[in-house]
Amino acid sequence: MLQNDAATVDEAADALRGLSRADMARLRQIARIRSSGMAWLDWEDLLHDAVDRVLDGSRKWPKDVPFIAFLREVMRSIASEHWRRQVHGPVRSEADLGAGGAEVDIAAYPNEAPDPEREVLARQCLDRVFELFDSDHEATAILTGLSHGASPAEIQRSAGLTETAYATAQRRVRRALARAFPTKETWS
Amino acid sequence: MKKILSAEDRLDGLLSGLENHVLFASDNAVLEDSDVGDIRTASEIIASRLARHGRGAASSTGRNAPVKRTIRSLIARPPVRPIGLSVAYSSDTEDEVAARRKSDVKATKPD
Repeated sequence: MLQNDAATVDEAADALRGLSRADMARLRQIARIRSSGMAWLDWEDLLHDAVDRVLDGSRKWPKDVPFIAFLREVMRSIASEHWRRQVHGPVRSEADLGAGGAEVDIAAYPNEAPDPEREVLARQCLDRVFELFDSDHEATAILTGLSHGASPAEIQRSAGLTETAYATAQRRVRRALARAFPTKETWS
Repeated sequence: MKKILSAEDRLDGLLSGLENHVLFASDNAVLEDSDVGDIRTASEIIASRLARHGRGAASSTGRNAPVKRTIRSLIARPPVRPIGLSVAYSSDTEDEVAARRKSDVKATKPD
């Protein structure tokens, strides 16, 4: 069985201090990609929040996971919370809050149920992303493949792309996304 | 049969796939794709949070410093003696205990 050896907050702080420029660039790009589907959250807020949660100990770094991959999961999880709260707020009903009369942090209860309104919002986000690449067939093939959980090899095979063409098109996608949705103010 | 994914799942899959590419890209490729200003902003965000974390660890200056000081002063303060009860504290001398017993008896006598 794998040992889930969690780092202390100080060890996580040391890992943050040790990030290289390339790591900073990765975090910026990941935060930007993850927030590009959400008009209500920009990449700076997302990164800010992720670092705070690591430093306040609410997200613990399992030391067998690369630190950047761990931070990406923290950002993904925060974005998911924002996403679920966006449509109906944090709770489904009073019953979800539990009994006992203890004080409850409502914000800690995101709505996990499938929801038609969130589906509509998600479809709108997907449409916006796909619209950017209307005339770019390679990029569209990559986006379609990724959105259906296909691996890069599967996408290359089905779209007839070489590894180089795939990497170049991926890069176009990332750059276009960064240009199109730089901040939350410009999303709507 | 192929599972039909929700729009939320497809969006998550799309964003995760793009993120994976960033994770596994070489340092040079990632740096070429990034604005200097954006890297600086990311560094500043992390530095500011680390600085705040450092202040928090230093109990005399952090955000929680007033609370920590209050807790420390409460711990350091001698226990409050119940009024009107003869309770012997380990630090009291025998004379002090006897004197307080007398005063307690006076205080509890009906008029």
